Amino acid sequence: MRNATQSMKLLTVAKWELTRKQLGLGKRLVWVSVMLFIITLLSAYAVAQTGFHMNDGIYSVAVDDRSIAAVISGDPKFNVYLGDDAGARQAFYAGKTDLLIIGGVVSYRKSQRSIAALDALDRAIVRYDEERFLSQGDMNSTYPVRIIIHNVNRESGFQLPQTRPAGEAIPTATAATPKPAPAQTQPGETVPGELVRQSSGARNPLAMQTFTTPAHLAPPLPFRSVILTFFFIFPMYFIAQFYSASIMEERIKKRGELLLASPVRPADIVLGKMLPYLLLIMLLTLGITVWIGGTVSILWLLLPVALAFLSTSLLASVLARSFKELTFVLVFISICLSAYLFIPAMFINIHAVSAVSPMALAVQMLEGESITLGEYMFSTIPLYFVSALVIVFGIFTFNAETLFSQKPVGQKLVDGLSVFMGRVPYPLFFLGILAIPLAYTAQLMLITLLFNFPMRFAIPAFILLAAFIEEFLKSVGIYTIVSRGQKTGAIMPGVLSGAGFFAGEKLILLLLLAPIAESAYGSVMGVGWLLYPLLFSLALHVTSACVTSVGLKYLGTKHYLLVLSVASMVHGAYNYWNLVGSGVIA
Amino acid sequence: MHKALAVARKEWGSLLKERTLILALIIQLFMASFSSFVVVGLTTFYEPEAIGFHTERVGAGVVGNVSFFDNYTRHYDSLEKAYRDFYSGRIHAVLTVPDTPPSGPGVIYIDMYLPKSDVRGTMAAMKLKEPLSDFESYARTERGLIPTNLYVEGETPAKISLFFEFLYGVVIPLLVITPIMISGGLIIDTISEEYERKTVDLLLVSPLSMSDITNGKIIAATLIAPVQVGIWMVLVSMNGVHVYNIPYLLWLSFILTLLIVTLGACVAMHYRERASSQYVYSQMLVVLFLLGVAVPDAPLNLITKLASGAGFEPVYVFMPLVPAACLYVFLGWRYLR
Repeated sequence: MRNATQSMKLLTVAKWELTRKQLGLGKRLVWVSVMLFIITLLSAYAVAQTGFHMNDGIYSVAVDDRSIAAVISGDPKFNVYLGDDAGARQAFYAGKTDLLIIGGVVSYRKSQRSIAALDALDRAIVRYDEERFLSQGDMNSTYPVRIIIHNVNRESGFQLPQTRPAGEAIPTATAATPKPAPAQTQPGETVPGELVRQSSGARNPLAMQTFTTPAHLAPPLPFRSVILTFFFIFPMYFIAQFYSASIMEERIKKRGELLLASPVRPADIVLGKMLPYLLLIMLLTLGITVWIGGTVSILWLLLPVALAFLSTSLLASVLARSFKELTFVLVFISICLSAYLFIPAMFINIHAVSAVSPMALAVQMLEGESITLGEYMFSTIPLYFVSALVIVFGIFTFNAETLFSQKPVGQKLVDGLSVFMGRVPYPLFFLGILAIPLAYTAQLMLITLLFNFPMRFAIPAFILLAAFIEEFLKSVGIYTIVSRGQKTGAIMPGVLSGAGFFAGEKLILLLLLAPIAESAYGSVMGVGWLLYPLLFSLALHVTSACVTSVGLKYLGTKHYLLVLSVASMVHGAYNYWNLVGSGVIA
Repeated sequence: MHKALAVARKEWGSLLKERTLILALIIQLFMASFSSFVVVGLTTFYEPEAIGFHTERVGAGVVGNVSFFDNYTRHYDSLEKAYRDFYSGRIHAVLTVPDTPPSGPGVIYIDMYLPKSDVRGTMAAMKLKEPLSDFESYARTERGLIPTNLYVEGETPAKISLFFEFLYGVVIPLLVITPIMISGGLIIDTISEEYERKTVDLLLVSPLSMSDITNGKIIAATLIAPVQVGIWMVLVSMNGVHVYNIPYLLWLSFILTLLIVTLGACVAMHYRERASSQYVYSQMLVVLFLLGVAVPDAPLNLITKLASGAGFEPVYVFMPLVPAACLYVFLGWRYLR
């Protein structure tokens, strides 16, 4: 039970962290930084004025008509070669250009470049015509056809609806004397304004289209959630770097020794150092949210993400042996986390698996939809759990022995685990339970990665790899015991570990996995406890864990991988047999 | 020179031993699979037949009498009937076309009903884009606005320009730039570490001179980038993306890495402290990146042209040598005496 004095220690450490940073940067550095920032702003302004030139000159066209050349030259993506009939043909057939236009007829080659150039030419001409018409005629002639898009709810989760959802009224035919709301108010002003804004492409990329013309009809970018994610993640990544650098410095400069010797507990140090960075991230995120005009409750979705970044940075900085190693480990972890956040979010209009990522839910909220508590828990609890686990682990390893030693990463993890196991009763059982969020997170990532591949290959691969992940996590406690040379039975560790994993699995999945339950993947992840008796599942986990414990005891840690492989194959075989038996797999 | 190589070999050795190289490879694997993910995503929208998705399965319905939509949609007499099929999933988009005459003067308002969060609705809408555009052109012509007409010889192929431009304009330059940026960060780490751990003096006592040490580190950091770029180009090619001019790309990545690494070395030598150096380096990178995006024929655009097989001026591939050489000379003159 924390009393006031103990909380004060944490806050004191936090305060030191903030003031320390200010003293760290010298005055000249601040001036250089300000100057660079001004240059950045100027460059950004220049970019905004001139536009992106990344695709300039990517296509080339040979033409014989000066007026057509003038039309195409308006698009910087094209290099235009103007020549006479023979010269243009020669340029095209020699392969120097992608397209040939003679007498108003376009010829193309059967290569990807040429086909892409043809489409780009089409788009360029459409744009040119539109500008030409706008300057000649009136709005109604330039845009005679206007489309009003209605995005209606038609549920498609993992199953197709058989009937119309109740309460969804059919729009009556009388609405077909159409006067859409935007045009009704000020026909002369708002409509052209909105169309011009849309035709110049300056619409909010996150909003879905509601009013457009045929030429501007565009699919909702599947990447708007990726872009959004990037906006929010980038500051987190940046700030987490500072946090990990701060911890790393304690280790490298051995200043940490003084800190550890003081009456401040490791928990206070770790959490106290984290607090200012967490606050900074949330403030920045709040700023970005306000800037893009979203609701502030998005911060609840971003909090677990921030915690995940900070906790993994902590782990990296405690385990790495040098700044070089730290950089790489941080980049690796960021990529894993980003993949975990990005990849499901790309399925946002396609499949319910997108709910795995809090960013997908954030996009939904930005579009004005509300999300349920169940959805919130589904996407954030894994992150919360993993962050909590990692932070606790970081606290356990925050001692002089681990911080200042040069042991390899695996060694340090095992050390931390043995500290944990020394402090907890029935450690193997609880390690089994705690392994669940890690297994869950890893398996969800596996699903999204394997989603890309055909089912025939993906399902068996998933069965085997998921089994391997679970066996590995169940075995870490046993490995720690064996590698310490402690006396232990051969079967009991396996029983405890397997039972713990089973208990945690059923507990959490009961709460959370309803949406995925009916799918093929859900059955493999063990949700389908409606499909086979609980006892069977318990037997499965205990058996495979016992394979590991027996193997490790008698073969020793040298054959760890072999033992794990055997255990995973046993586990995988069980799963496969069940899926066949229950008819999910033919 | 061989002393510098000895330092370089030591750097590479520590990279391998610390298993950071394996991590770098795993990172690249992720990036490559992510790009294949993106390609699948874009292809699904713009060229669904290419991945075997038969677009007859994403039908649309139309209410109204316009011949332009006959080959693309089912015709319904009333909105209720269309909606019933829409909700049962037989069609995935509904259009209502009014009787407004195309020749004007009024505007023709078409209502389009799409399902939320369903890719089939999006695909149905994109399929309708062509007949809708044809209808618009017809209406424009009726009202006196004649579009520029260019006829295509043969059949009209798939519309892949956006996908092509995204791949070669964004994905591939990103894959090339990332190892370069990582190498820059790497040299700052290794140099500032020597100063912070006070091992510089120890090194100087040995037969190595300061410039040997620096050269060795620069060589180590510079050479790993083109190797990574090469691996990525191979991985991307295996995903079905044709990358042209790979030798030029490798050369360009080498020379750009040299430039960025020399810049990083200057910064690290100046501040001799990791946090400040990384901070200033990151800010400089942002400026360079912005300039690289805005200026035509800048490295990013050059990478796009090289990889996609577009025409380019070979002189631009050698241009980064100039600032790289200047920076190198500056480094030697200012910091290594």
